[in-house]
Amino acid sequence: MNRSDPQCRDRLAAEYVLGTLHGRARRRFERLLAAHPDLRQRVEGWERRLLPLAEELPPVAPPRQLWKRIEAATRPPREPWWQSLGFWRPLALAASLAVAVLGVALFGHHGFDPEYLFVVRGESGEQQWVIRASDEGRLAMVPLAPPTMPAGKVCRLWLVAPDGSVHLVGVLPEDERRQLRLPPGVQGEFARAQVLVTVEPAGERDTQPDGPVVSRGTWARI
Amino acid sequence: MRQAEPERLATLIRACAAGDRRAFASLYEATAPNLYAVVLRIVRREDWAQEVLQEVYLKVWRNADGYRPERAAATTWLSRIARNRAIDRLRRERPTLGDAEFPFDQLVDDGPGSEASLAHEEESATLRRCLEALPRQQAQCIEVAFFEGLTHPEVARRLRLPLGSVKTWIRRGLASIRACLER
Repeated sequence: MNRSDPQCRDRLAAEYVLGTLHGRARRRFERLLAAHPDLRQRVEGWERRLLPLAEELPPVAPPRQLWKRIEAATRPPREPWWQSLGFWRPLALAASLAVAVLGVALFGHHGFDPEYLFVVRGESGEQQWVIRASDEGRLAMVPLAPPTMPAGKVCRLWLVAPDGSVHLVGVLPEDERRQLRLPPGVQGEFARAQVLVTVEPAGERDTQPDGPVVSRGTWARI
Repeated sequence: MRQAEPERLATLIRACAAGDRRAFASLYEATAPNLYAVVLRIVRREDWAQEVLQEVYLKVWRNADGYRPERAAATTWLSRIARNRAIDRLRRERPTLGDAEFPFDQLVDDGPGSEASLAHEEESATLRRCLEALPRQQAQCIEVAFFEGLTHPEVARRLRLPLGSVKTWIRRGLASIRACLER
């Protein structure tokens, strides 16, 4: 296709908007778009023509949890230590191994074998808490180097079940190990749940995480 | 997107550009079910669709000041972001994408708002009329390509049609749509 021919330019613009232009051709076209106002105009013309079609699809409600994630990700940071925390940052293999070693060292002799571990990390990757859970439904939160919380704020631990339901586990302790039972609603499938830590006002009986997300991820199985 | 409210949406986007979080929440509420449907139809996996939708709204929040109401209706701007993100995601995941049919019918939202009228009811109706005036196979190729973000060879495979015919029909169909809309 000769890109200097107006008909060809128009056809490329149409196929770009239609979506049939893929891969390298699409990327190349996007680069051309940035430099050629004429192409941009053609694309906008085709968007006006074709995009109303997108509104014909019957709406599908996204899971409620999604808004919480978007809301948290766009919330301006109020304290530096959770500012650029790895939202969605996968736990690197090296970190998992470190966690495993650390977990065994911390929990190896407390009466049950550690089965699942999660490390809450600070901004520069420092380990703030270790969370462990066992298949019998027990969970322990161990402070390693917890951050200094602003007055009236606490870190809460939640589990997000595979079906998107959110279960409050409790407040992360500042000075000593805390052990409790997993919330009944998530016991059967906690291993597949996401671990979520948010900053919330102290003393409130929260049912949903509303505050900034400090950390989230999946359990490392030991 | 719900009701004939393009101006309300444009106002919300402008408010987002000014950092108004409540406007952002309202914009999400008014538009997410439509954009989720668009994205889901293209990527065909709920987990990917949710990640894409999250990227879409992060982009909307960050780029709201780049929205020019005189150049595109709010719904067009939003659909463009959603479709481009979804197609990018599909392109990235394509090697692992099977041909499994996605159960779209089960995901249709029957809750309130599902009978939402269209933002550009008229434009949309005109476009629909133009599509319906096309020979059936042209319209079918264009719709499959558009809604599912498929390339020519994928459309050909999906509809069991020769690739050359698919290319020709899409080209002719688009030209006819343009002529029909300008009439």
